[in-house]
Amino acid sequence: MIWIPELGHLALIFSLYLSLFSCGLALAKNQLGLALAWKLVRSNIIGQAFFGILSFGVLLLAFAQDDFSVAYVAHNSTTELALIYKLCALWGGHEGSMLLWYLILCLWSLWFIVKAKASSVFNLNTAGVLALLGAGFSLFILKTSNPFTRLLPNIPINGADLNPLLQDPGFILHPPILYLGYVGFALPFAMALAYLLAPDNIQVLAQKMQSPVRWAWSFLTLGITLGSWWAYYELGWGGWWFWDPVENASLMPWLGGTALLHSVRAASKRAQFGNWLLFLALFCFSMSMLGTFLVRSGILTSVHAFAADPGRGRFILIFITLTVGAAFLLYGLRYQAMPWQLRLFSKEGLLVTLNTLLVVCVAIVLLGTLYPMFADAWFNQQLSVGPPYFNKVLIPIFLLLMMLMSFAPYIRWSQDSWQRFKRPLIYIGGSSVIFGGVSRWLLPWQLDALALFGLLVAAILILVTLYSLVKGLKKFFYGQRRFDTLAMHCGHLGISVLAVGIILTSALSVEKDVLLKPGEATVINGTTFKLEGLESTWGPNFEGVKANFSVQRANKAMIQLFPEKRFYMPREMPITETAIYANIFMDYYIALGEPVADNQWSVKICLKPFVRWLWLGGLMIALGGLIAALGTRWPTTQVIN
Amino acid sequence: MMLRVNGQWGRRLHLAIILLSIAGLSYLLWQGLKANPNYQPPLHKLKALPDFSLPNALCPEQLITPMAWQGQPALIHIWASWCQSCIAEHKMVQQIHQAYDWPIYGVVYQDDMQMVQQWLAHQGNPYQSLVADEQGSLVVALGTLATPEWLVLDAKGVIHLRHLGPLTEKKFKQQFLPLLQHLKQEHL
Repeated sequence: MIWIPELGHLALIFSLYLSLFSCGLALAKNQLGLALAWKLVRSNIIGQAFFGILSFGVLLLAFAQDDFSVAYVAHNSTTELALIYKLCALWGGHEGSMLLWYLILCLWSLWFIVKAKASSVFNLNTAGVLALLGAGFSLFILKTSNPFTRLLPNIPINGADLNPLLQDPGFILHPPILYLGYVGFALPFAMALAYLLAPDNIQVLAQKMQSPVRWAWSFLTLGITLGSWWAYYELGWGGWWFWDPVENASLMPWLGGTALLHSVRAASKRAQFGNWLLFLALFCFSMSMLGTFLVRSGILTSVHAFAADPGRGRFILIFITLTVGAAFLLYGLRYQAMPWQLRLFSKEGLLVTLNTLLVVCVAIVLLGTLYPMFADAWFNQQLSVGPPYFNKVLIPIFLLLMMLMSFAPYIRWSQDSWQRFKRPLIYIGGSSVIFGGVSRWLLPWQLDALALFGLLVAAILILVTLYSLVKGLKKFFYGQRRFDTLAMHCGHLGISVLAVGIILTSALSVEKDVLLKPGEATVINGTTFKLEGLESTWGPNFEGVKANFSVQRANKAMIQLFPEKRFYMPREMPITETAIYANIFMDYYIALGEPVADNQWSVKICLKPFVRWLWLGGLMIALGGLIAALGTRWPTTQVIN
Repeated sequence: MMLRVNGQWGRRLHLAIILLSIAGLSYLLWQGLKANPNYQPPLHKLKALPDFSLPNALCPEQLITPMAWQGQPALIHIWASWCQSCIAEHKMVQQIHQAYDWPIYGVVYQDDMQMVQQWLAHQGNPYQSLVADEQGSLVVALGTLATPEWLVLDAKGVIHLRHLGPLTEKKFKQQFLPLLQHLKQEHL
């Protein structure tokens, strides 16, 4: 029926009005009385979420039914697409992604309303800020990027298809999970603002923030890991991180979020961390919003770039500047510096070091991300800052952080002495020197000094953390259920596994571009890659060539790999489908290039040792976050007002 | 161990720093939304080439010095294989190489030389010679802001023109060609 998409449009407008109404109610709480205002805000937010979900559902339905009278559907889908990709095509473009963003904000608001049962000034203010954010973003969607714009009366017969790069299982999960994390930081942001509007006991605030911060951070970690894995096999470049502006846009909230994750727990034990807590809560979501701006405004060129429209950029920039500016103004006016005897060699001291280093990392990434953009805007030049900058500046900081990680968890609060760490330090130092000396004969690879040093730091972290993890697990099963300790060790172990993966893949990967005819073979590091033959292949919306490779490793079974080159008809776009044989120690990676001459193809072949460790590490970090989140109870105390 | 500013002034200072950085960043981003299409960094005075001695990217045993770039007006192209705009520009460089016989000297900035060799073997090599600047010392000495960048040298190795970003055909014909011809006349 022709009117159904209008229902979605209308639902979104209702949702906007309800969120505006919630803001008004939160402001008028003194006139209405707390209990009544809270009751009304609750039902309002439930309504806002209901209409948000309805609007999303209607768009989903339009995709499922190939309703090309909706312009957004016509631009991002086609009748030949598999149903699952038709549904996911919803977040394949700018308008739908923003609707997904808004939907997730609605869901988080709903989650808060359900968790925070009783009425209090704090709860009302938090709900009010969340509603304000909701209002801003729904207005943004309606004003500049409405997914319900129609193509009437001339309805296209078929759509333009979803970007073939996105027609992949990775695309089903990556955006929603990433957004759950991104947008989840709205909760700590709102809570921090609510606290600043009516300050009270900061330790209770920290306890309340614990749950949303942990969930959001875990989702963000999972989302980034998924994205990296997807880029690795789908983009056909064999890389796993490109320092692409959009990747950086998700890395910045993650780094900030990591600092927040640690500060939340610290502030629940030591009130002096309150300022860090408030600052990081505001900072983190500001970075999420900045990321949204960078991606959505089309200001950057990137693999993720959507259609550029300066109107969108201006709207969202004004909105962000006002929200973030107001938030930090409030922070600057209200925060209370607490007297603090801070010693560097104590848990507090190391946590402050951690926060400082992570904020510095964010600044470094921000600078590297924005510099080419300014060059583009002012000099009209497309410049690259590129991996050398990021690697050179960030690697030393990351190594330092890993070294901190291997003893910071065991240091005491307030004050500790080096004496306690003397023996382990001597053992570790001694064995490191020995290991460094004999590594040449011990390790089967040739590594440079930096890689060797990194590996050593990671190895120490793995050993120390494994030891404590086993001890922690033992206690866990004997009834001392300390989720936090377990989660921390799991996360730190993940970091070290990730580090090993990064170091060894970067140092030992072999990439080779070769020209092959059927029947020809090439040998790389003792492994023979033979092109057995080529055949044609096709699907509902593509046709292409499938190559058959046999890979013969020394003393091991033969592997068959089938890389493809597909040509997607509706968009006339060639796509490389890589073929990968993976095990825990080595990836055999083949990407088909272009046909060069008669039956001869250019082929990219990579041997990527330890590349799986990257995502294994990422998953372990996310698992750590999830364990912590599952072990967190929502505090029942209503100390705050 | 930490710098601490206390009291009312400390608070005001913190507030001012935070708000100024937000305002500054917003202003920059706002500017970023509009583009000024014709900006080029000024080249105030003619600059001689810095002294260097760096390996050839295609055969590392051979060293290249500024002497190699002298004798006739030439183009210098500073690029890297990790730089997407440089990769996109490669066809253009090939065209210039084929259409005109001005020598093009390349400087590869902080790159894996194996990747560079593979890339050129595949896509063709328009460079008369290619310097491998793995540490970035030459690029810093040249005053290059980012890749890609183009320089025009006269026969004595003095830089006469600097162009940030990818080179367009229009720009090459309008600015580079007349300058190169002028420099050649002058040299004769």
